[in-house]
Amino acid sequence: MSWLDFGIIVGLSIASILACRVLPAMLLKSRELPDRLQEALGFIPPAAFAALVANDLFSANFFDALYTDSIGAFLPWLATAVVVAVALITRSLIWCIVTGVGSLALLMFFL
Amino acid sequence: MTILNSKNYNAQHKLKDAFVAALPIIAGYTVLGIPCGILGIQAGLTVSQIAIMSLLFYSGAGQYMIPNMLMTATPIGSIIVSVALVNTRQILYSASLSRFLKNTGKPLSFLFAATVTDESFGVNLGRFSYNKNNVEKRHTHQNHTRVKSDKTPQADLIEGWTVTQATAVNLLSLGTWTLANITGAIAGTLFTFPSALASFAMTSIFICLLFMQRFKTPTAIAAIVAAIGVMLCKILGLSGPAILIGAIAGIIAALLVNSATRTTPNAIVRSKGNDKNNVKDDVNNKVNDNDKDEVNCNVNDKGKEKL
Repeated sequence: MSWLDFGIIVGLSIASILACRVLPAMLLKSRELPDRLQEALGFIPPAAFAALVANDLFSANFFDALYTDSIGAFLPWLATAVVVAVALITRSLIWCIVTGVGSLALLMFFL
Repeated sequence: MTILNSKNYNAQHKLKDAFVAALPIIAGYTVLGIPCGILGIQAGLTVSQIAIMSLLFYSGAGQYMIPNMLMTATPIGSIIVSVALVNTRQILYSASLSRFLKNTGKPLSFLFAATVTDESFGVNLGRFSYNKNNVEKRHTHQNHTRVKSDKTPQADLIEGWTVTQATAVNLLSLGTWTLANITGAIAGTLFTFPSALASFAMTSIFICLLFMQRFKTPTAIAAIVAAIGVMLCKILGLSGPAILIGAIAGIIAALLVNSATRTTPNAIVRSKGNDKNNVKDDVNNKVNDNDKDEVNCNVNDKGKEKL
């Protein structure tokens, strides 16, 4: 890709993500926040992680596969069930990665 | 917090803790970064462009989207808008982490905030909150016997997760991501790892972070509504802002549920909660850390006090 196109696309992408990452923290950090806002901030982690998981599970592949290959569409869902169990038992990110990728690999290989 | 960190605690030990905390991210980013570098080369990016993008842009979702959209000849304008929309969820992380930066200087705050990702947000938030809960537990335990002494909170503070450590986690993750991308870009097709598997490493991290939350009714509502919101966005074709819209819907639903249940009087919870609030105030005075991790019960209690 030409450096001009790269500069435009990546430069503006960097500017937008930097604004999203830095501005709220810098603006809010030395302020006493209203209760209602603090309450809302406390709900960010469960809402965000659930949204990220749903975003991965309801992928474009999932909707395509629903029509063509019904088993393949649900393999990540089966692996998700395994990871949920491991997460609740071990509470370990590493074990979740290992069993998640491992179980999905096995499912993709055998089914 | 950072002042104490530089003082009398073993810095090496703290850095080791940060490395241990970063390990799952390092594993995940290695697995995800190599195919990302390969994809960049396939889309016509150079190795140095991939390196610059990994270091300064540092967004897994964005760095998968840009090459994919370049290869499908998407107009530059819609690439930029799509990428910007996907990354708007960073606003939520930044706002959520701001409360830990109260006593941190601007340069470190900037460096920390600029290097937050989905995964490092989860890991650091877990450590910040774990530290706080420990402080709280210890204080609750000693509440009746404790005469005001400065030693205990001081000790708790030293054990706490610092912004410096959190930034170390971020930088280790950033370094891994950049190296993995460059490795993929250079070594290219030597590694062929199915992309579905690579991306499921990240999904596994998110699942684990989700189920490490302490679920009470409003928290569960936040998660369920967020997931349904994302699904609906995807069905409607709004995949760019799906995560942000879903998460905000979840947060609003939880707030509504919270204000509905707040009016239910419950004497036992009230007395318990008040006790906790006193302890929290005490800790807050020492720590100057207005962490509202247990926001559900906290706000509930405040509402009940008004009754």
